Amino acid sequence: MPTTYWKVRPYVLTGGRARTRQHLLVHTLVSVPFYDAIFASGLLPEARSLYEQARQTRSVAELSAVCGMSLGVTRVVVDDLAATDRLQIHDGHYTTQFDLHLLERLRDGLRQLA
Amino acid sequence: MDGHPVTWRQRLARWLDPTVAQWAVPQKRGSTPPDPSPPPERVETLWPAICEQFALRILASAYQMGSHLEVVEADEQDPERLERLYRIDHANTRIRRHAENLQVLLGRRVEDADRQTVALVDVIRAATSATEYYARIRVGHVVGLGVVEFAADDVIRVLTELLDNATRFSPPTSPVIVSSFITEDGSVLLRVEDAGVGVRSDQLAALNAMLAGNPSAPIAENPAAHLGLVVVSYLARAHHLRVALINRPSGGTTATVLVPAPLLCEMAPAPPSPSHPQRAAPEAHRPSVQRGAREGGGQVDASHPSAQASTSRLTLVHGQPAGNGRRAAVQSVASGGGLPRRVPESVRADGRPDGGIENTVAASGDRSSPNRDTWPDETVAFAAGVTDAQVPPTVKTEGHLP
Repeated sequence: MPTTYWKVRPYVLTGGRARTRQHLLVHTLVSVPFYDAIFASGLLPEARSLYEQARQTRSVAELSAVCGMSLGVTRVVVDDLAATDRLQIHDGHYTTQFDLHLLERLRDGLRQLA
Repeated sequence: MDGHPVTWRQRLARWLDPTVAQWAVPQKRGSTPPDPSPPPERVETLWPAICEQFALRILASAYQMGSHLEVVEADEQDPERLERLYRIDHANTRIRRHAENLQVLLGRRVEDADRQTVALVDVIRAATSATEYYARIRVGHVVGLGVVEFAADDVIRVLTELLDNATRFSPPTSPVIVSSFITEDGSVLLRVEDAGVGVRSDQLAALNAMLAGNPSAPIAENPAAHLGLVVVSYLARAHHLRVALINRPSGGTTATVLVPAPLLCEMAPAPPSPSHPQRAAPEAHRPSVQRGAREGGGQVDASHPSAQASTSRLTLVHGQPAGNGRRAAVQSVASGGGLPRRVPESVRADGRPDGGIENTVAASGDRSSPNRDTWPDETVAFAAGVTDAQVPPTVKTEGHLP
């Protein structure tokens, strides 16, 4: 995956936004309901790699790591794709009992990877 | 006034720094004894050096701030604060741009950090990043080529100024569209299209003459009025870019940059779609990954997994599978899904945990897109390693396992 040049700042990737319409947690699961190759070819590199990676159901944190984008950017791109119904957001797949534990593991895992 | 000519440089200096006026004023000759301050000619010659020093210092501070911002932006979870950070980042990017432009105007080569071949889509978005009203810029059709490293940053600077003019001189509600097309002779045409008021035809001719490298153009006599386009003309001359402004009949202006073919190159081909059939069988994938995690990441000390992850990532990015004779002990056995599997004992005997992953990749033959496949695997591997750490592996305690 070609990495974005450092002079391309994150605010350009999100249009200056950091807020999302939907509440997206790091462990919120995301999937592509039906993959459209023509639609994918018209996307910008970040949205495209995210769209392709999400063909397999993944969490937001995982997508952020796989696509090499920060969580803030990933959230907005996921949200934008979801707004066009190209991406499906699955909410409430984790019971609250394990939430904290899962988040800690994710955080530690991402730190190790970084 | 004794008729001492005040040059535009001194005027500019006074405007920039009011204290300059105080030591520039007592230049009256005759009444005072010989002045110990340097003669005006010397000050004149010193100005470019002083400007360059400041440009460098501003640039260094902007870089420093940028690197701190990057860290804070990546960590920030609160959307509101993140948006503020974005605004700070945006201001900092513009500070960097102005410092770079100052260097260009001084005739110096800008030393950009981490120069590399940049895809045209990133050239466009990097230029957008440094533009004040970036939110109105829309990216149209973009060809999949890149600009070679020694010209990429200068093309970004040229496009930045053109985009800045387009957004500045068009209604705040109308978009500015930037696109790129390949031409017959292999050059690329970048187009910036706005819906502004346009430029008066006599001024347009003068601007185009200056952009074409004609220093006697009337516009070139007052560079302060068109600083952005002066920067463009400097850089266009340096790289043989052809820049032109055209009035659109429907209103607005189109700025075009013709990037000659020698400055262009192919980008690495996009890796094939990652969701190939093997993805459908995660069961075939997981065991080998889990084993890879166990040998390196299952240990109690935390230094190992990260070290392993970084080495394997580095190797995979460069696509250099290690064909080392010393690692002959590592065998690959094709699994049911066609994926090679390693025998864990041989790796342990080898004593080089990083050799394992490299060989798996080498044997799989999938070198075009190794990065895509192994990245998620590393995440899975890490999770598996955490699980395994809770149930200690064989080497740690024999009591748990038969």
